[in-house]
Amino acid sequence: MRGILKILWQVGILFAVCFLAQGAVELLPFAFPASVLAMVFVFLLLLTGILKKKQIKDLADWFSQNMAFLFVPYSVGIIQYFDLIRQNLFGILFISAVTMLSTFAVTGWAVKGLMRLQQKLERRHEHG
Amino acid sequence: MVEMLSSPVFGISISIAAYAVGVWMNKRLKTPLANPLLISLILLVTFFVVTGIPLEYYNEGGDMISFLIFPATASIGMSIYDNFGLLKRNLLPVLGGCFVGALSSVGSIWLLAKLFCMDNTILASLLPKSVTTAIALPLSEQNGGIPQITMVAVVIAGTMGAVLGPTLAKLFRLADNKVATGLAIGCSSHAAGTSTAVQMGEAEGAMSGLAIGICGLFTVLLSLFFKYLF
Repeated sequence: MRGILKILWQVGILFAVCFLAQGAVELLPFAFPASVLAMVFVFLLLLTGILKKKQIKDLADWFSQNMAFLFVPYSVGIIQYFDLIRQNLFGILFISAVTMLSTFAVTGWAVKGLMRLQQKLERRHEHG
Repeated sequence: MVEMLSSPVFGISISIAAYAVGVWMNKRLKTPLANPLLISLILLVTFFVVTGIPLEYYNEGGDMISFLIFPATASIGMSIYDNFGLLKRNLLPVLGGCFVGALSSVGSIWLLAKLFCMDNTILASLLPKSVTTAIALPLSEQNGGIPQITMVAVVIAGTMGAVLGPTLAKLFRLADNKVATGLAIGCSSHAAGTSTAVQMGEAEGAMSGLAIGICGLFTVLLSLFFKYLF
């Protein structure tokens, strides 16, 4: 009985945060996805200790383990866009592949450079 | 028959069945190329094209599953919180690297799309494609993109990272630096790439996981300026 109620409370808490986020995006002066704001809220509530991790943990773990499944119905909607995709197929594939490589390289090099900079700053700090 | 097919139970059970086949094939074939989402997509699309059952029937149940993306996205907040200690210990490389990563992703997509004279619908669909699906979809939709095209691009980026991650790390001379390798995989190929990063090592996996959230957040911030790119 307690187990069942525990999951119910977790659903209640997480949905309440989503509900707050839904309300908050309507107040923002620019368009912003409610789900992403809810993600930021969950992070901040945990960070400030208002929300305890154990109050949402089981549900959040379940969602992250089954995340890919939740996109299945959405992806089937691709049927409606077959023509548009066929017309732009080469561009979509080419851009997706090339920018994946460039993002990989640029991120990696930036991190390497920043770590070298950090070491240099730390060394200077130690000496003077 | 119509009543049976238009009941939400139909869409939900057929989705679970297709995904179960996908997970089973993924385990049997042992390659990131056999992505369960991709396999279930191919199975379901074939099924609906062949049988001619209207998608509206499927969506009665499908929409209920899709609704759960909202609270599932919210729970990503917990994994950002879990990784917060790691972030604080590597503040400069993580924040700097993820910001440069997000910026270079958006920038290179924009540049190539303009070179190819792609129309704005496709551009808006591709711009958020380096981040995790849950974040990429609403950003695409909000800027006039087609979420299904975004999904294709997200899966391509993820699969490439999962398959080529270790090779690319060597090619771009990052292999000697675990932090750089992990962040590069996470920024360019989100959760799918992270599954490979975890196999490469604990540090690579943790950094890649951290990059999913941080890069996602930077891309959300950048998306506020997407409208000036069209």
